[in-house]
Amino acid sequence: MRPIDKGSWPTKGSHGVRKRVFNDWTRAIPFLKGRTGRFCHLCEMKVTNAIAIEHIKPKEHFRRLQAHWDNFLLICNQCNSHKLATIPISPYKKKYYWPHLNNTIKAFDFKITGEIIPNTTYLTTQPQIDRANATIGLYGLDKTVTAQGNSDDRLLERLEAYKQAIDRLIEYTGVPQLATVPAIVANAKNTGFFSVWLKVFDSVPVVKAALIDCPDFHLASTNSFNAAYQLTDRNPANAADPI
Amino acid sequence: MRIDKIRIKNFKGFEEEIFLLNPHFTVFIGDNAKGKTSVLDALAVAAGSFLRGIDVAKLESRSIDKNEIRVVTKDGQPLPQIPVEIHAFGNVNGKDIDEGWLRTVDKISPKKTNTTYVKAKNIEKVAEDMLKLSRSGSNVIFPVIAYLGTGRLWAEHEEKKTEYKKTGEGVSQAYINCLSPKSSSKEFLSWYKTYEDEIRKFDQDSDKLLLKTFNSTIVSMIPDNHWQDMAYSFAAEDLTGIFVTPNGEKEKLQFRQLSDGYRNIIGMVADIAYRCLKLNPHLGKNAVKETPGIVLIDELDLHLHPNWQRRIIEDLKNTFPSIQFVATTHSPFIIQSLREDELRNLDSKIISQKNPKDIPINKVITDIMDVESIKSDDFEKRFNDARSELEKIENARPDKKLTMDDYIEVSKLLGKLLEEETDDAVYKAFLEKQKEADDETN
Repeated sequence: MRPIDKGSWPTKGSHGVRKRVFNDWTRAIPFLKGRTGRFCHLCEMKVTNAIAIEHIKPKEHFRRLQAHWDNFLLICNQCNSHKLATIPISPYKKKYYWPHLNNTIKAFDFKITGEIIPNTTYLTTQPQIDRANATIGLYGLDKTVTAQGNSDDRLLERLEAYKQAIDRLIEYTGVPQLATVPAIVANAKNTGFFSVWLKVFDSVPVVKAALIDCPDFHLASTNSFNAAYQLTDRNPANAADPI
Repeated sequence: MRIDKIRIKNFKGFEEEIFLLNPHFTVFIGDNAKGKTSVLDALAVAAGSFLRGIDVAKLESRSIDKNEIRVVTKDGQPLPQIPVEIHAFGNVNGKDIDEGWLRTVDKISPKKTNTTYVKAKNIEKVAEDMLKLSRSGSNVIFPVIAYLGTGRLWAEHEEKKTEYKKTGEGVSQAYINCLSPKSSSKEFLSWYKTYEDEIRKFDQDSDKLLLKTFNSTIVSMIPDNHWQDMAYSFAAEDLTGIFVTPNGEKEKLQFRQLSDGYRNIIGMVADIAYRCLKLNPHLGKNAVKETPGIVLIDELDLHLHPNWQRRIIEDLKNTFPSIQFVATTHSPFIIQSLREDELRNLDSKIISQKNPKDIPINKVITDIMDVESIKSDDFEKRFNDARSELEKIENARPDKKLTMDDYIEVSKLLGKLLEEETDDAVYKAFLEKQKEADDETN
């Protein structure tokens, strides 16, 4: 899961002091798209128009939070429909990993089989693994098949991203070199699933750096990578779970 | 004129719903009795509020009928629910109406159900101002408003003689019956007859231009250049199309001899085009292309062959680029021809992320229209087979570092799985090509 930085509550007025009102929360969509890119915050699928605002705490139960910037995420319809009536367990910030609070690349592993599992390379304690599993469960990120026996759209798109990333890797490392770095980054922007591309190109530093630096993925302000493009913790003060 | 958002409360089957409309084309789908036509009825009430400001067409505006009030049955007795509210937000004459305009039924009386219009005065005022300007000689662009219901098949059982039409103010004629769910075929027929006669006798260039625009609009909607031209036949008392057979021979056919499918489309397009020309004759040959407005069409697929269903939306968009269309349908072919933001499903709130254009027709039926009996392909089994192969590759490398040979194998496996499943025809063709190349090298 790609970490994001939503930034502070958008303001209006010439001095930028008054908070914008989001009684119609769909008005927050352009701000979130502008600051974090056009990808679902949970599954990383590329989304165009059919996108919704996720209320982390459901608006039906937390009326005060229905127009609250901190409660918003950008979410695709598939992730949203799996959440629908579920209320996150409190305190939600501790029970789950969130792309705007944690370095979620460390928390989840995207397998080549298309599945999403806790990333045991970085998650070392059982509470951490439980936390990752809770997030996967909340949004049905591990769904593979729909009730009708068809493929879950997110799985299919993820596998397509995997296929394209691997093909680009084969082309890039082959002789003659058929894929260029900008073409690979453009392909990644097009398919979405940053985590998949990062994983496939982990052993190719030039491409990895270009992916992380690509402005469309909005990673610069998330404090998730250091100058050497290695994953860093976002909550170093939290000794038990710095991720 | 454009409606971006409509809130419907206690109207027919709706307790309270909000619908966002695409500025160009919105199609509602859903089971029978899910409220597709009700949405159009509500939009007709909303759009009709504009007509309250047009004095000569005031009676064409539509109120909320007594039997459109939502009823809840409790202990065997029906309880009508008030207030009924139809609240529309949008743009009229180039200006956004942010607060929207609201029509309501607040009380029920034994005699007559009154639909309020006090909170729709804003749109009424816009219309009044436009009319005033128009009468003082300015060129005002009026919006076309039309509701084409399922009873729109014109000339069915209509044996009445086509009268000559007296000319009158455009707005008084262009809005006649515009919100009754039957299109008024006789109106454009009378107009056409009179107009053609006039041109024959007086030969005015501006008149000619409008008639030519009307003809070319209708001829352009007929696929494969079947129709070359059309004219009014006084002998047959009907419109006549000049038709070209596959052998290149010209043939004349009266419109009443045409199939229901053709008559449906021609009746629909003629009705809209006639209203455009009546409202904004000063736009000349651009009257059809530049007239804005709202057109509601119930069951767009009525009598159309799937091939025509596929292209009807594009054709309407091209012919009337400034009009906002809202339609209902049961046709998977129409759904498949839509763009991503043009579909509204009354059965479920879950909209597929994908552009309906990219979904194969069997998936449109199972995934979007939710028909279960169609045999869905066995994705689960194929996925599980591929997964065990992929896991074998992954588990063979305890350090999780795949070699390039591993990756080549993974790419092949994924390609095979996706080829069966992908919705993108171009990508599918690419995967097939890639597989061929792989087979050759092996």
